[in-house]
Amino acid sequence: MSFIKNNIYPIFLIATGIFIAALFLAFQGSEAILPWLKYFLFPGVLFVLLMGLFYNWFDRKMFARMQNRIGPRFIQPVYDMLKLLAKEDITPDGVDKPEFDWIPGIQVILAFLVAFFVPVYATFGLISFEGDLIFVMFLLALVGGSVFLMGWATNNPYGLLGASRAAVAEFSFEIPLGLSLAGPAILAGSMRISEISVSKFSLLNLPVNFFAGQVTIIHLVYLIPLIILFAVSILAATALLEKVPFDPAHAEVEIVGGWTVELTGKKLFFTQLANFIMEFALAGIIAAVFLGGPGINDFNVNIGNWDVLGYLASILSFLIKTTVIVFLITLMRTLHSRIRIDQLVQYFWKYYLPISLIGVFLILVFMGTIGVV
Amino acid sequence: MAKLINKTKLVVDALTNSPFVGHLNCGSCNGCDIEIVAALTPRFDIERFGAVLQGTPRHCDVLLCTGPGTRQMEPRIRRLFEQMPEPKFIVAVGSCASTGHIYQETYSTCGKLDNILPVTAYIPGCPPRPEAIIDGVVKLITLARQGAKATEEEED
Repeated sequence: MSFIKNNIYPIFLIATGIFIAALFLAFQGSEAILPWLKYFLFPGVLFVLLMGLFYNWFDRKMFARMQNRIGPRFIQPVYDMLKLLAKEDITPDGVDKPEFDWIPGIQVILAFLVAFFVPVYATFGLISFEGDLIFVMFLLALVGGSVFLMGWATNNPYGLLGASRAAVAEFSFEIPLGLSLAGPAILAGSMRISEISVSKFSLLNLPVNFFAGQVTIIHLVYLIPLIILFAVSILAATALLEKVPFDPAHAEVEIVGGWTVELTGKKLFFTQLANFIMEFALAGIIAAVFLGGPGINDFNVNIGNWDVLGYLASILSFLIKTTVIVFLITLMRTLHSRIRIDQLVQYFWKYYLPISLIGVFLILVFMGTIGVV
Repeated sequence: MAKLINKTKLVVDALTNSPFVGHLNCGSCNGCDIEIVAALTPRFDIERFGAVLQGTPRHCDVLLCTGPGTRQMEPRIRRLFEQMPEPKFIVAVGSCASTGHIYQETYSTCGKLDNILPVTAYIPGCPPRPEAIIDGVVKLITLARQGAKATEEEED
């Protein structure tokens, strides 16, 4: 009994997984019920929520282990979220009313919307259309805007300071992030995330295809710009998630939480949940663009598109790739201390932007000389 | 522990398993503050209990207060306490905060923290060791859980 009590969250997770898989298999032929399940259960809201909480735990646990301590329990993010929901919700005098009430909710909606573009079990995500990479970039810019408005609405000196810092950071990392995602898009010849993820020339698919004999050894030269762009995209994702080296926007010890300073209870819950989900979504999009997402394409073709094993293998490969990216972000967080806002701007404009430009330039040069098969 | 009555078991579990702590110097000599900071270091790892240090009282559940509470600081202490969302707990860290220690009946302090704030747990020591501070926070959590359970049984 105590085993069940102590491990209630993993058991719940596994039970939910089995339940979802059973539903998925039971209704796989039925066109009427599958779309509903898709949006609410498996790659949709419930899955994204659980994965967001899981990656928050993974991030904190890895951070703790690298500092040689034990770290939080597996169920800890669930307790944190439930506790924030149970706390009192204070609206201070002097805040700008509609923004202060609405923006945390809007942030959660935006985070879910970004997460719906992530391909999880098939080559396409829940939402997929031509040019959706640009739309995802637009959504990420909206998240930055919402952070600025939130800090402005708190009407608190710390909030205003955090908001202005968040806006400056947003201007800095957006262009390197866009350029680093544009490199693989140019190689794949498409701005659609699903088509980039099945491209033969992504960072992971290139060596695999070389050993499979689909590309020649000269094409491996594409790895150089792709590694550069992958590193820049990880750095930009760290800045977007406001993780430690690039988090002057809500530095706890200097400006006591920055733009989140006046948030309590449900509103803090929403902003934190949005951050967790955004971590999962960004890791998923970077995994799709650089590491081929869930793609075990040849495998899928061999055993058929509706085969259970194929789906499980795809989901497993997706989870491994996303976990690696979250681990890299955690590694950045552990190894470095917080930098000042002027250093952040300097790093991104002086170093990462030219580096990502060089990466894209190298890809264009190689495409002109070697070509894409 | 009346703060946790009329809540379901799940909510009590959540509230007692993730205490976000804040740190407030109410006029101490910094000895206790250093020990609190030591308790937050990787060596003692209070994140095992779900405790995370927060910068602002708006995010806190537990406020670790050190020092007897000076007259100058008194209105600010009250204000910071009012800024915390319910349910909230105050822990008096150190002998000064608990009893006044050498500051009893001095003109410039409130004597002890009890005189201005509703304190839930007292951690004696001058200064208390980090182990003692962690033990105090864990005892507060246990007390809160027991109190919630007791009131539940009374109602039944």
